[in-house]
Amino acid sequence: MALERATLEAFRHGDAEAFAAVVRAFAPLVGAIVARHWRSPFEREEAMQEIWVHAFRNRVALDAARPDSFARWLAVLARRRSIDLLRARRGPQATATPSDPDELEAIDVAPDPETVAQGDELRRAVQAFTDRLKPESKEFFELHFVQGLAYREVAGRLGVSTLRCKYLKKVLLYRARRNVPLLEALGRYRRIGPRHAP
Amino acid sequence: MHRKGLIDRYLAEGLPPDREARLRAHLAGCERCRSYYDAQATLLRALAGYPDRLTPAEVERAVRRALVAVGAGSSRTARPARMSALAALPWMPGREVAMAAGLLVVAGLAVFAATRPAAPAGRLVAAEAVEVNGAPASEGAVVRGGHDVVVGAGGMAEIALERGGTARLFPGTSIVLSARGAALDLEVGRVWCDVPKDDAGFRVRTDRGEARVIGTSFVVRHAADGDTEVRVIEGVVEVEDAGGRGTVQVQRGEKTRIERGTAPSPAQAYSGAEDQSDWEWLLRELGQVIERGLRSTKKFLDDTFPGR
Repeated sequence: MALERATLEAFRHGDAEAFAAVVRAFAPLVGAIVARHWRSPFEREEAMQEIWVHAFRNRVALDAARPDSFARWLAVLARRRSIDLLRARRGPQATATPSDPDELEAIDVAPDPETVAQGDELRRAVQAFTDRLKPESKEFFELHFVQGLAYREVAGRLGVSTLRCKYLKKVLLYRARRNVPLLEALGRYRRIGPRHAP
Repeated sequence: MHRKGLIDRYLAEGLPPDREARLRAHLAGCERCRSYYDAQATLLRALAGYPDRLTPAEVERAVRRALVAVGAGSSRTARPARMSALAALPWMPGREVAMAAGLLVVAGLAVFAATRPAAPAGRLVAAEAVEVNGAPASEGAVVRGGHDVVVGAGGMAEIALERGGTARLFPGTSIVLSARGAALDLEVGRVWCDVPKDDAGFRVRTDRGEARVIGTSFVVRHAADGDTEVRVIEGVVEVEDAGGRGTVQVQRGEKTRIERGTAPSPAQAYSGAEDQSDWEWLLRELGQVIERGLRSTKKFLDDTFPGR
């Protein structure tokens, strides 16, 4: 994760595109921080939203001359904002757990073995699901679901219409939501989740 | 009201900012919907390969929402080329799809025509268990171009098209109309269209093919992940498959079928009785439901307010 000094400078001055670049580049970092405090994807998104707004409003405190320190600045801001949000919800006694002095290092800590195992099981279930797909569906799955390409680009690569892409996505999601091994693995994974999230 | 379909659409394609805000406000206060949202979001992450990481779509959603929140941009955001389609507008790519009028098409794919609030495409003249653009709709509601019209399992809908004519939606049908009701995308289900002749032509399109009508009454049937069948009650319909392999003209009292990877089949005889009787049955059934409801209401009032 690194941004050019010019981008950070522009962000500091409130440039929209620079802010968008910041969010894209550091979404994984902020996402990992909020995942330590919230289990629900919806609540994590709401917390991230609060953090980005808070970061934008406090951007003047950023030292754009030191782009290498931006990640740490953002991580500290994200952690503090997360604690504030938790306290607002639970009361003054709420604290972030575990209390790690360096949020960046804490993020790099390896997940516990059970989480790893459930994650591997979930990936195997997804693999088994995609192994049974027809070639066009499998290719669409890789381009859209895995690589995140938009309909237009996928349509161009597959030589089909965007209408066809939309249909393929509907059908694949319909099947995924009814794939019992996948749902069971997903259910087990969700029950495990980040250990220290509420 | 719980909004599974709307949540699915939001996660798959996004929503306009105002609808997104309303949905998220609902999710914040509804544990049931939030639980469903969380399960679907986790599924999408799992399908992307990393259940504990943000997907590209989630990142772009975060970018868009953050920009809107700080007033730093509109719904359009600068993004890497590969995400440009999703980034430009949150909920649809903005393509206009013209549909032929005289085709009764049952197909599984809808094309969204416009991304901004569109001109009226039609008006509901009858509705039972109908949602328009994710919200319950009743008789008299306006249907705009690009908005989903979804009929529940026990429902029906009749739409007076802005361009003239009528589209009748059977139970379990999902469509999108283009501006002025000039074209219809049939996502799934069965639609019976009666459209007057005009120079523009009316088309109904499914993922299998397209039917261009010059002025006719016709039925299109398409099941999700299935084939498309076009049945003409009155007039003439030209049917072409999605791959451009062939075109068939279907006359009154005929039908054609488009299977996966094939041109439309030669026209075969079709009586029209099945679809017309199905529609009449629907109206009778709904009439009985309404009548039972009225009797029940009358009994309640009579019991509660004797001598009223």
